[in-house]
Parts: sequence; structure tokens; C-alpha cells
Amino acid sequence: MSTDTILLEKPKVFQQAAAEAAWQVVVYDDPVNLMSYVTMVFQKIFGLTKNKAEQKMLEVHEQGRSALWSGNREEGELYVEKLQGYLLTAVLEHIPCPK
Amino acid sequence: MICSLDRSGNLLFHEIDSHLAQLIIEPFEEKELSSKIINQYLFKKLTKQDPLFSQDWKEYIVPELETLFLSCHQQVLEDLESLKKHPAHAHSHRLIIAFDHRDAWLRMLSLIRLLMTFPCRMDPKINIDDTLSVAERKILLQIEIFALIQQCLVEAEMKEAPEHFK
Repeated sequence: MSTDTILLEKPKVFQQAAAEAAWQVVVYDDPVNLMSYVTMVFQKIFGLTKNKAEQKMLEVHEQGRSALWSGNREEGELYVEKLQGYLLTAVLEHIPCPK
Repeated sequence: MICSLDRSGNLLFHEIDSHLAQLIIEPFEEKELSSKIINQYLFKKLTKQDPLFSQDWKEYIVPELETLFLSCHQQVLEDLESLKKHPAHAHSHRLIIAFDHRDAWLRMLSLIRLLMTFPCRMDPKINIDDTLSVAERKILLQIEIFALIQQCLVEAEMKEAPEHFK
């Protein structure tokens, strides 16, 4: 029996599923919204604990942006809409698939 | 201005003088707040996104955001009617934000602060100094007043949040 490793091509259906899941909701910093307000919005929308929400808010504040969620595009668009409904600068970004 | 929270979760701002009442009312009287914030602020942030998302955003998200912001604006305008009444004393205006209206106020305060800040490139973190014009000082003061009201609302929201949220 040969011990050579055979590299199988990744089935297309899995490639498609991975591509569909590869989106992230990113919130950008702005100089206007209050830190307490941003924390509260993260808690309301993502159900985060206060500590986790504050940690994410500080990431936005100090690094200029933070990825809050990742998953499929459709769900991501809903989160972006909810965040924009609270006037946060939220966008949906594609996560490049590792080759 | 003094803020208190009643047992039903309504926020009451009282002992507001006439000048302060006018500063609070004025910015909300603008009619096109919803379209302004969408076109001047939210859309600009999306211009670097892929064209497909921008197209989806315009087609599906914008109409829903417009409806949401219009409804919030309407609720805020209704609440501001009490501030327009002339009380016996010039410093005794009242503003009541009902529990059910808190969410609308939170959104609209954020919206109004963004709209007031960006067109004139003002940063609320800067200190008021002599280089600012009277109009700019007034805008900064209004931005700070709205921040104060919003902070009271956030505290009220978090006070009633489930235990694991605190």
C-alpha cells in the first residue's frame, strides 16, 4: 500500500459554504458617540456582558475598529442595520479565505 | 436642569430654564434629519465597501433606517411639546421622556450630535476656547447638553438591564 499523501481537491460545496460564512461586522470609531452608549448598544444587539461589551468598545476607541461578529452575509447585514439604527459606524467586511 | 427617574421608568428633567429649553428644542425642529444623517454620514462611511453591499444597503437598509429615524423623530417632537409650554417661572420647564420613548431618544440624541458635529468638523472633545465663534460655542454647548441627557438615558437603561448585563 502506498504511503504517499494524496491531496484531494476541496469539494466545491464546502468552498461555497466557507465563502458564505466569511463575513464580519466591524464597528469603527467616531468622536461623537459616548463610550457608555456604545457599550450599551453592543449589549443590546449582541447580548454581551458589560465586561465584554466594554472590552469591545475600548477596542473600537483605541484601535479605531473592532470586529464584533462573524458569519454569513445575510445575518451580518442585519447586524449592520441594527448598529446603524443606533448611529454606530458599522460595515460588513469580507474575510479573505485562507488558500 | 435636574434629572430623576420614576418607578415606571420615565425620566423627568425639570427646573429647565427657557434659554436651555430653546437650545434643546431648536435642532430637532429641522425636518430632514433622517435623510441628512443617511446621506451625509452613514452613506459616506460605506463608500469603501464592495459595490454589491452598497447596492444592497441602498435598496434594503436605507428605507428601513429612514422609517425608523422618522418614527423616532416624531416621538421626540411629541415629547418636546411639553418644553414649549410657558410655565409660571422661566426656569421651571419640564421634559418627560416616557419609558416607551427612551429608545427613540437614545437614537435621536446620537443622530443629532453627529449631525451637529460633522458639517462644521467640530469635535466635542475639544475645549471651548477663544478661537471658537459664538455660533460654534452654541453648537458645542448643545452637543454637551444632549450628551448629558443621553447619559441619563443610558444609566436608566442599564439600571433595569438583566443582572448578567451589569
